[in-house]
Amino acid sequence: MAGKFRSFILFVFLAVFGGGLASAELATVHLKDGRSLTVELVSVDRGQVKWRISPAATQVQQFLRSQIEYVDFPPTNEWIGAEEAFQSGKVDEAISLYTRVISSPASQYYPMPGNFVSLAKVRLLECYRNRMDTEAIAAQAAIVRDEFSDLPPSYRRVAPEVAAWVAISKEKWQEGVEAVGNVEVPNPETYLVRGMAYEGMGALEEAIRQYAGAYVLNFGGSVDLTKTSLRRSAEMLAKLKNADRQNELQGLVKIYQDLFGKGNLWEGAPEWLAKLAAGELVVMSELAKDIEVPEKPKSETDAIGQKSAALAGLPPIADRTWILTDELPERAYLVGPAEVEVTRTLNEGATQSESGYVFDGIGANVEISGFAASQPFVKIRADLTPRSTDGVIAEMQGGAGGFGLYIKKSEVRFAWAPKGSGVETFTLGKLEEGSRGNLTITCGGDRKIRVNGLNQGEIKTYSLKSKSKGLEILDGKSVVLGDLHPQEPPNKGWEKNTPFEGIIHHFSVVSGKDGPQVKELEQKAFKGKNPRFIPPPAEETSKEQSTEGKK
Amino acid sequence: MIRIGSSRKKESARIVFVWIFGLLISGLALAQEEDVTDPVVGYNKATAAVQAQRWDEGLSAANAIIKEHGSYGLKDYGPVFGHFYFVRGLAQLGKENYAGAVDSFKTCYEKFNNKYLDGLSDEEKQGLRPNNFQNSALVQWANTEMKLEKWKEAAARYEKVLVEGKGDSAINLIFVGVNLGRCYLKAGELEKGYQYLVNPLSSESHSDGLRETIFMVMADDWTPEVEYPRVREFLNTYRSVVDQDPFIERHDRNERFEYLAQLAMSQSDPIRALAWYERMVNPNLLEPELRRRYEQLENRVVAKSLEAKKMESLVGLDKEMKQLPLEYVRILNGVGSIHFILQNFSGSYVAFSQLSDIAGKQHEQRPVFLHNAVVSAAQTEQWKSAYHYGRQFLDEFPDHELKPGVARVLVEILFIREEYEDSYEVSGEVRADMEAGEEIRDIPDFVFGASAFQLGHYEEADQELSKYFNIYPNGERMELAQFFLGLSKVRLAKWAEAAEILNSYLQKYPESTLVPTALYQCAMAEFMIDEMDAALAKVGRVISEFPGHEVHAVSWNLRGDILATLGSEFAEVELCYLNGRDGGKQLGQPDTVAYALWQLVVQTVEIEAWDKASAHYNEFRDNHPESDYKNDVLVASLPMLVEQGRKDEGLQKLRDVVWENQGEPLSPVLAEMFGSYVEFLKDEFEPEFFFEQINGLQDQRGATPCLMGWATVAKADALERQEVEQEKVDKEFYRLEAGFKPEEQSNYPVVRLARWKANVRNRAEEAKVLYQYILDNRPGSANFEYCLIDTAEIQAKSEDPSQRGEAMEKFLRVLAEVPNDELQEKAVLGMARIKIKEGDYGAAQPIWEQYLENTGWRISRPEANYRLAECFDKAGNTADALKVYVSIYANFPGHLDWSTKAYLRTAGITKESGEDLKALKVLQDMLKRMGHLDHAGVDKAKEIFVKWRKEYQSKTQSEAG
Repeated sequence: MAGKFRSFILFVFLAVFGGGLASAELATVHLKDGRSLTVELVSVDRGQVKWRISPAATQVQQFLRSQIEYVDFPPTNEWIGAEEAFQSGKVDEAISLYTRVISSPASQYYPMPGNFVSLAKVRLLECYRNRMDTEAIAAQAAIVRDEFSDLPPSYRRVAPEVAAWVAISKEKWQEGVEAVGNVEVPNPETYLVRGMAYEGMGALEEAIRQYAGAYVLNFGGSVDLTKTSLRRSAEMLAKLKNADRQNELQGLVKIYQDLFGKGNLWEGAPEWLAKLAAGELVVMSELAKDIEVPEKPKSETDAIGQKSAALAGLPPIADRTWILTDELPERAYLVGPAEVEVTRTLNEGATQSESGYVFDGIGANVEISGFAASQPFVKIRADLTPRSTDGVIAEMQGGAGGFGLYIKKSEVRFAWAPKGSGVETFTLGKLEEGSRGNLTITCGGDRKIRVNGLNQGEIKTYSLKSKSKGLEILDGKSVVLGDLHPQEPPNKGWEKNTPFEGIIHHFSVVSGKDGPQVKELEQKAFKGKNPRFIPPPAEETSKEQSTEGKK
Repeated sequence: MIRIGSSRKKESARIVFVWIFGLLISGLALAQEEDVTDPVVGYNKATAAVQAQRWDEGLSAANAIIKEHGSYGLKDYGPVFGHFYFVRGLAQLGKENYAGAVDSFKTCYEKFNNKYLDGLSDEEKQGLRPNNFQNSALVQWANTEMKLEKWKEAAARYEKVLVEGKGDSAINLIFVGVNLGRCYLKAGELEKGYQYLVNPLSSESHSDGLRETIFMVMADDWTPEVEYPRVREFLNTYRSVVDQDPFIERHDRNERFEYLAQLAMSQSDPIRALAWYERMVNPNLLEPELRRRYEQLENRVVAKSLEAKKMESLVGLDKEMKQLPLEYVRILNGVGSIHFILQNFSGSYVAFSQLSDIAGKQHEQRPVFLHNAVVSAAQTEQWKSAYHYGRQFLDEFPDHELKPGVARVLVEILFIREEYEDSYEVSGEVRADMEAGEEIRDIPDFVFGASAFQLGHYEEADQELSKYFNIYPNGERMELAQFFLGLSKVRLAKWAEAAEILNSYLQKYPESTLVPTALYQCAMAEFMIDEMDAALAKVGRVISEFPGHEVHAVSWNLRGDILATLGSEFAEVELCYLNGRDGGKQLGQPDTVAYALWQLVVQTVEIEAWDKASAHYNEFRDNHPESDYKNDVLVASLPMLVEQGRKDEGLQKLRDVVWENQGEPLSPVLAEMFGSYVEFLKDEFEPEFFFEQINGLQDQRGATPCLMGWATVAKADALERQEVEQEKVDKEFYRLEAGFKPEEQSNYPVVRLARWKANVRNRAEEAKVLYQYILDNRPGSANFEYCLIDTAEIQAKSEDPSQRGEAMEKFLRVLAEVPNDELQEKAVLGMARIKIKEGDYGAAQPIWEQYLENTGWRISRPEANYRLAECFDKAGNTADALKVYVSIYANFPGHLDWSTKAYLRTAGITKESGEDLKALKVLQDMLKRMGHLDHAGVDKAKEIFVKWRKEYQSKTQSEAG
């Protein structure tokens, strides 16, 4: 049985790590003939995309631009940052970040359709729409129009709202109305531009109705849009001077004043309107009587900042030489001698909870990039709670080598495959589903693997057959937690490992030229402390304290 | 087993040292084999278990040590022994044994306080260690009290931590401050709580997570307790803390914001509620991300063993996505309700129309959504939309409690949209479920009545609006109800009532926009009841106060009518119609112009101003050839045409009109214009020409039986006027009778033929058939009432009681329905005669009295008097009978049929009373006056007189003898 398992691991490693060129990143190429392929990018230039089917593949292939509809490129850090700002509604920051993306086209796959420069121009247009900056929208719309050929097909159209903005910028009111006349599901912006166009035409009643669509449906949306539509609506209503609609006008100015105007109306608002806003609100209070108040959501009685009960029992970090991995700010680390920015990407539904990365067991994974794989001394730490008996804890694929940590029938297994060597696998111990367990694997320059943890009470040592010191493969690799292959396996017949289900509380790989350097790197990475999964015995603590005291 | 006792503390310390050394070289496994009552072993075991969240194990380990060493722990080890209580407290916390945890933390803090060491000498302190968790225990104590919602106690604890924990790096004073602030809020100390929370909230150096937490604490516990201006300031300053997050993260807070919003709504604070709704993220915005995740997972190739798990996750994601629109509906409902309550109906319309469109027919709130959409749309005058949603409501929720509310709006919308058939039908339908007089039925009742008016159901409108007027003295549509009621009365020619209602309307609603119309209509009613001054005053107001109004020109015309009726100077009358004509032109009212021209023709012809008349006639002819007044103008202009030598033109035009209408037997135009044609022919042309023209009509190719019928009757009438032999007249009727089909004929020829049959030919039954055709097929048409009375008179003479019964019904119908005095008289007479014929004098008497009371009825007054006397007579009231008999031969001596009878009966009564001589004198008087006349009654009197005189003579002789 063990032999069978070993051969399985070997197969996996041959499939994943066997040969290939320097690594690149995965991208999905959508071809004009309808096919889509997820491939490893080798290079992108104006006329073509060069790729290979997997890191292990030696053959580099290419698609000509004429074949490509568009490409889902791996997001760049600049793009991710800009998108986060945009999604969070930080428009100014987003504009600045998208502008930065645009300023370095070479690193953003420009001009292949799907490149982030062209997409950033689209996003800038959206930012200006958020700001309702008519002139900027009109100008940016023209820029985006020129980018159509470098954009994915879904972006190669002028949104009706944009067309309306452009018309409004030229004071072509009727054209503005017509631009959004056939929008089936109007959004707040649709209503706003309609309102502006009708206002321009002098159709005040219709403008009031359209502005109402904007401020009513925009709850939780852009404050500027709501403010603008409220103000314009109130101004139109005030112009009508209809005594029957006094209550409506009062409601609008009240809302403006109390929700968006910091207690005041807009600059230049007539005094009588300010008085109206200041007056006692007329509400149909009898209607409010029937409103049922839902049960109050359960109030949190946990004290803020209360650590887990276990952590709370520890001495202050400052008084310790060690730090619990649960106390670290991140749940995964790749530490090496070079200054490399480590990125942690949650894929396929992986989430992060207070206690670690959560994996759904059906392919959720976390990719951590920036592994210094060429070093001879590697220390791997893992702290996890599996919720099933099988799964990929971590895998690192590199050109002609890598490592893997798995759980199979509740046994923790480790595979080590230096470049050019065969895969060697070891069963490290048991970890039942539902139990939390931890382990530290040290692969030293002495070609020994030492394993501590899994409640075994001793350090187990395994000798490697390989003559390699460390993996001996290039740096800049990624480690994937949970499932290495979230998508269709690149090679036919390749059998997938079971994805991990459960929580990985901590995973780290520290590599260096030797033990002292690794120790030093650990200190640097982990707030100057030695990382631990659980507190040391009391006496160790006492000893530390007494030592501190002597100092 | 290593035991540590109080008397062996130095040794134990040494043993500990040795043990530690051993542990370091042999690993944890060695320690695990040690005695669990050993403090070191126990502590390690307890902390390791607690770290791994194995609470029972940790608790057991801590308890074992406390049990073994607790009684002398402080003395032997110093405050450090408190660590066991601290760890025990943590384990208890993990097991949610909060009371136990409080006890443990309290013991750790109070009993094993480091102050204990302050009171000891250096020697005594030897080997004793401090409690490192003293402050942490205090914090955990407070934390646990928060769990127990002992806010004041926890606050006191945190306050202490802030003092004692300064400089203790284990204590995060920021968190303590936040917790303290929260406890203050919970304990009702709002200002203190606010101060403790707002500072860390303001600090951008704190993590986003901490600031979000603080924001939510303040939202939950502070904002509901303070006035809105402070909340406004809070939100203005700090809303970016929660607003600027990815949608997914913001969405987690939706539930709490929604609660706050609805709490505010329930407290009638819509602005505050809206402030919270504005913090919520639109759930629909999450859909793309969840959809992406779903599709990604769906497309993921997984091992067969994972298929079920994948499916489970897909189901979960799908469920989550399906919840989004429901949540959106809930939020939009809340937002829409706020605008509704604020009476911002433009806003509420957007929300509720969308909710009506998207929420699905099964949504429990759908009727409310539709109702609010209808009301909002109506309030913003979006009638089409209001109708759209209102119709959906009524179709889907015919029995819903909100139906009346929707119905009342809907029916009014239908009315405003001038969809009168629908508004009539729907209002009639919806009000059926409501009690008359209920507030909710007010509008439907009004709409029903007003729609009936608009549909021309004036009688119904009159009834309904009169009821509305009485049932809803403060009705919401009283003004319009009164207006339409007045107009209904006008249409029904109930002039006096119309004038009263419209005058009252004008008094009550002097500012109404309908005043000019009401003035005009009221003036017309007053004109009809000869209240000329009032009518003049009203049209005067319209003319002077409402220039340009749609009734301005017609008011000039009406003023002309009034002045003409009053016999005013021509110039004054003419001016009115000229203004009516010109005003009508300005207002684009051709009917008004045509009427004015007609009247101008009439007026100018009247004063024989032929040129003017000609000008008006020509203008009318040129510009209004299809006007309804064209025949009136033609008739009015005939004298002018004659005067100007254009009578042939007039005759030809009349003939043309007759010819145009010859195919419509029931056309009043044909009847009127044929009459005018015959009159004009008769008056302006020689008799020969007359008969030539009539014969020509009869024989003209293409003439319809209807036209031939008219021509024949006209000829017969003319012959009768010429008093020719009856045979000549009969000849025409025979001609008419040949192939006569009443359905092809106008009523007049039918009636004339029937009368000829009845009166000349004594063929009452044949006549009755003709009459019956009209009675059965042409109710309400011209001459219908004559058919009714003629038929009744025929049936009244019948010996068949059922025929007389039908006759009686017809007479009664005439009395009830035909406002024609001549026919009314005939009806009463006919009824009285039937009663006499049937010998029912008791029933006959009041009818005869009714007849006699109407002094204008002259057809058969002698008969009526005689019959009345007869009724008295039969009833034994000979005194009254005698008076009436006497009055008959005194007043109507020439009416021999009745006066002779009256004489004879007077004589008879006198004789019956034993006054033989007086009776003879009555007869003598009669014979003196009438003896020379040839009448059966006179003959009878002679005979009786001879007889009675003999009897009297023999009687007196025998008495003398």
